[in-house]
Amino acid sequence: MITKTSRILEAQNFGVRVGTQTVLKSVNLVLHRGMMLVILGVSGSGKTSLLKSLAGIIPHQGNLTVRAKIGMIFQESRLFPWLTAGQNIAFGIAEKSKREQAEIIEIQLKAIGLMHKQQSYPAELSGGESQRVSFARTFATDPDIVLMDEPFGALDTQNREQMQQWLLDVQKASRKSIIFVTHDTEEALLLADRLMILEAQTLHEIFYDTKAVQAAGRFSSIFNFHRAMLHEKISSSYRAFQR
Amino acid sequence: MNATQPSFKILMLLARNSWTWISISFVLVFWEYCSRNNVFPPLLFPAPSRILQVLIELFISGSILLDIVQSSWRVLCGYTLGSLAGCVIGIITGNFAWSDKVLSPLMQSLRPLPPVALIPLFILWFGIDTSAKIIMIACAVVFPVWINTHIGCSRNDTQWEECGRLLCHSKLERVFRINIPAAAPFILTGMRSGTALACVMVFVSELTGSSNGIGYRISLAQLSYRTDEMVAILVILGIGGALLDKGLQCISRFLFPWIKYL
Repeated sequence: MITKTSRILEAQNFGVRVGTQTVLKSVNLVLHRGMMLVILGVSGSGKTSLLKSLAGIIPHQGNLTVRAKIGMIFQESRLFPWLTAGQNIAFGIAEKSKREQAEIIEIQLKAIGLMHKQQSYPAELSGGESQRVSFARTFATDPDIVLMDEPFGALDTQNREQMQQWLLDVQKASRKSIIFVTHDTEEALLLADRLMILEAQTLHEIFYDTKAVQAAGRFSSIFNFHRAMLHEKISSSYRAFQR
Repeated sequence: MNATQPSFKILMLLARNSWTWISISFVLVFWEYCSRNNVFPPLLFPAPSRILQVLIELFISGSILLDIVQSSWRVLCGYTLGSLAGCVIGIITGNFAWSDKVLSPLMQSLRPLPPVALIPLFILWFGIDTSAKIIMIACAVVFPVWINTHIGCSRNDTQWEECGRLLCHSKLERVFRINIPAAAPFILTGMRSGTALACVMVFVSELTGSSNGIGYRISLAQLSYRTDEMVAILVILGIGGALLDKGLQCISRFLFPWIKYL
C-alpha cells in the first residue's frame, strides 16, 4: 500500500536551467519506496539533466525533498581506469574498514556474477561487464534511491536483455526505489512500475498499470498482445505530445 | 634451442631490434674507418675503439667513479626536489581556481627563462657548493613537471568528476582519489622531460666552480686537449641519462600498472 510516508523523493514545480536555456520546468514527481519509475523521452528531451539535478550534480529550481541516500548509474560505466573492478566497487565505501569493504566487494561481485574479475582493470572488461561493475559500485554504497540514466544504452541487444532481467531480479530482491530513464519504449514497458513521459520540458504520467499487464504472463501470447497494445497506446500518446 | 632458454630470449630480443643494432653498428664502423684513415683528424674525432679503451682505463683506475657518484647524487637530489615541487604546485594550480590566478602567471613568466642563463645568478645567491648545484637542477626540473601536472589536473574529466560528486565527501577527497590518478600520465610525461633537463643542468653547473663531477672532468679533459676522454665521459653521461629515464619508466610501470590503458 502506498502511503504518504513511503514518499522517498518529491519534486514540486521543479525546473532546470543550463545557462540561459530552460531545460525543464513545472516538473512534479513523486517516487515511492520500492518503486521502479521509468521516464521515457527522446534524445535531448532533458532526461539526463533531470537525473543530474535530482542527484544534486547540477543546480535546480523549485522544491526537491529527498528522504534517503541517492546513487546514480550513467549511460557509460564511468569506472576509474586506475582501479581494479574490486577497487572500483569499494570506491564509495572508503570510510568502512578493510574487512567490511572486502565483504561488500564479494557480495556485489557475486551478485553481478563477476567474482573472477575482481583484479581486472576496466580496460580488461567487456562493455556489459563494465556496466555491471558500475551497478555494483553504486549498489555497494547501499543507496535507497538509484537514478539510472539509460544504463543499457551502450549495450548490444543480447547483453541488454540479460541486464534488464538482472535488474528486475535485483529490484525485486532489494526493493530499491529506482528512477530509470530511457528512450526505448520496449525497455520502459518491461521495467516500469510507473511510467512517465518527458516531453515539452516537463513530465507527463502515463496511467497504465504495467505490472497488471505483466501478471498476465510475461512471455505468454496474452502479454505480448497487451504489450503490443500498450506500445501502440504509448506511441500514440507520445506522438500526441510531439504534435 | 628451447624457447624458454635465456639465450633464446636474448637472440629473440636482438632479432626484434635488429634495425637499431644495424644502424648503430653502421655509424660506429663508419666513424672508426674515418678516424683510422685520417678522414677526420683523430685528435679531434677519436675512434670508437680508442674511446672504449679510455672508458675501460677510467673505470679500472677508479678515477671517474667518485665523479659519477657526485654527479648522480646531485641529479638525484635536484631531480627529486624539482619533481616534488612541480607536482605539488601543479596539483594546487590545476585543481583550485584561486591558486591558478595567483601562482600560474608567476610560473608562466619564469618558465621561458633558460635555466642555464640563471646559473651566474644562482652562483651569486647560493655559492658553488653541492647544495647550490642541487637547487639549480631542481629549478630546471620544476617547470616541465609543473606545466604537465597543471594541464593534467585542470583538464577536468566531467564524467569522473560527476561520479566523484556522488561517491566522495569533499573536494579534497576528489582531488586525491580522482584528479591526481587521472593526471598521472601527464605528471609522468613532465617527469620524463625533467630527466633530460637534470642531466643538462648537472653537466653545466659542474663546468663552473666545481672540483668534482662529470662536468668538471670534461672541463679538465678539454684543458688538457683529451678529446678521447671528453667523449668517453659524455658517453657515461648519456648512459646515465638513459638509465634515469628507463628507471623512471620501470618505477611508473610498477607503481601504476594501469597506465597503459589510459
